[in-house]
Amino acid sequence: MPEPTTTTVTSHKSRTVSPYSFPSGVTKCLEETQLLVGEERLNDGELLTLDTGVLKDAPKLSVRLARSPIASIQEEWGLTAEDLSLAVLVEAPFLNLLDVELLKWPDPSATGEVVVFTDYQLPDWVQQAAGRTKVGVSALLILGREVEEPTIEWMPSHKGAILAEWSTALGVPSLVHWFTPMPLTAAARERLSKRSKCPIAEGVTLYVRCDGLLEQKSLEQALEVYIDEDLAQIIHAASPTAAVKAIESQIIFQVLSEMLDSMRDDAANAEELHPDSAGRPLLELLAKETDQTPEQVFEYLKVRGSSAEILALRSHLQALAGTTASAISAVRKGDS
Amino acid sequence: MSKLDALKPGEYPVVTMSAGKEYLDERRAVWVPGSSPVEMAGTDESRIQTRVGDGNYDPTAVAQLVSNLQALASEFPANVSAVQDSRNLFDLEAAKQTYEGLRGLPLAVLLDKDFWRYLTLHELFSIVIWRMPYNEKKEEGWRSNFGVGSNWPRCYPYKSFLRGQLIATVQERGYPWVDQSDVDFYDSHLFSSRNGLIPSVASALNTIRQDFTKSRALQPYVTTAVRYRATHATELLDPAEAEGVLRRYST
Repeated sequence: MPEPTTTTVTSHKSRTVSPYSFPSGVTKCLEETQLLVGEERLNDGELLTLDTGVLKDAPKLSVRLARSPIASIQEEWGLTAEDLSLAVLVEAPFLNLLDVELLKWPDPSATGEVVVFTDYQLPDWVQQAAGRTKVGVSALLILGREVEEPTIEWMPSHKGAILAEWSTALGVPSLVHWFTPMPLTAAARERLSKRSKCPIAEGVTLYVRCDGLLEQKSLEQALEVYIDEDLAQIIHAASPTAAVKAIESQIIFQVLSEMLDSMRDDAANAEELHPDSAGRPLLELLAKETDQTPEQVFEYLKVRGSSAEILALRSHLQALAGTTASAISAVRKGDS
Repeated sequence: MSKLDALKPGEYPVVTMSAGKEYLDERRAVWVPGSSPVEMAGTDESRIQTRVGDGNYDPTAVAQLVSNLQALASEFPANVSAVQDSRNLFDLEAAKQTYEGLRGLPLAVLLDKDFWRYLTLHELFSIVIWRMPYNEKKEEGWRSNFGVGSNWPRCYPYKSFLRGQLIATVQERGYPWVDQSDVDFYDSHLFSSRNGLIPSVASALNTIRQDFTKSRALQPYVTTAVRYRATHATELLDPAEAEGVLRRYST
């Protein structure tokens, strides 16, 4: 059995930091316990999972829990089924929105390897918030009551102790929410021309100014994106139709394509997209397009655009950006 | 017709980050230090764009909030930012009014940083710069109060809204609460940690805060709350249980 962690504090006294120590013990115990293998959405080693697929269609959530390790814990720790609870937490930190609920155990007499909880109704705000801000969803297997006399010295004994946790995030905002294209008006053209010391002609529909991704903390601080005035008006005034969404995406691809071109000329520019900089969301987008990790894409970018991977990526992005003209046409015609 | 008067159903006003930076520079350039917060209502709409969201945006709610905050500001000395007690009291009352004034707006609007920038730079600029006068030596931090710096949570109206929301939530649940006007209690002890998100823990910290004359003494309890949350779902504790835990492991 794992021993309780002991640490030395600055007052030169040694003390056991319980209850902070036991989670590692619990985790280890769970790892050593027989875990469910391969049943439906539960993978090898997973104690708990949560089905977020239903969020797209219905405001309900289902949580799946492996039964056998739960039974082992109960037996080893002398707990009854009522001592363990399953809680769901849903939160949107941007506005401090929080919903917490204990789920009812479905039919305690039922058998089978997986316990499925389906009675949780998501709060109304989730569907409005998902896509606009980060919404976190967690399922927690917890101790539902205080245990007066723990059967094992280090076992969790306080109400709310987390025995297992499964978390995910819903609705991470898309890139278009991070930098809103501004209208390229006559005044803006004049101002930007002066600033860049390069005239911006009437025919230019997209102008991007990147102000040091490395120095800035977020994309919206680092990037200024301007698009043709008429087009901007249509995009901002219209409902988010498929055509509007398509053009927003293609603006991003065009931005990325142009950034890649600049990196071909100067490898130092690649550092602008370092995974630890504000450029990470852009790297993540590139990674998604190429089934790579952001770090792998960054490594490709540093090879001055000569590797096969980066050539393929550039070609892919240019193809995507190349359809911008047809997307603009569709938006102007009001197609959806 | 004014852009703001011509809002269609579902539309709401926004100011983007880059436009906001320029708007702040413009407004600051003509702001006369020491001016009354009612003297500088925004009139230039060129930086404002509109966006479509779910639900109907009610501009009268914003107008009423501006009016209420101006009336509140008039009760405070002109040098409010230089007097700690005054600024703390103003912040507390402004937080309550900001939440009450905006709580009815559609969620899509409240989740949009660009709306908060519009609110700060166009509607509430005079109030915010009166409360947070220009500080050349700490310019980046100062700009954050207007939602165009590097520290978003410092955007003054947004921060006020969250503070007011927490107070209202705790009180609506009937949890123990005594208004604390010291800034550190909210900014350092609640909102810079997860504690501001959990009403029962916020209530417990509020109760313990009353044992002390200075909020600094609360720090060990705040640390305990954060550490305990790493291993326990404190969201499921009631305020008395949370207070018991914090006292037990902080002394």
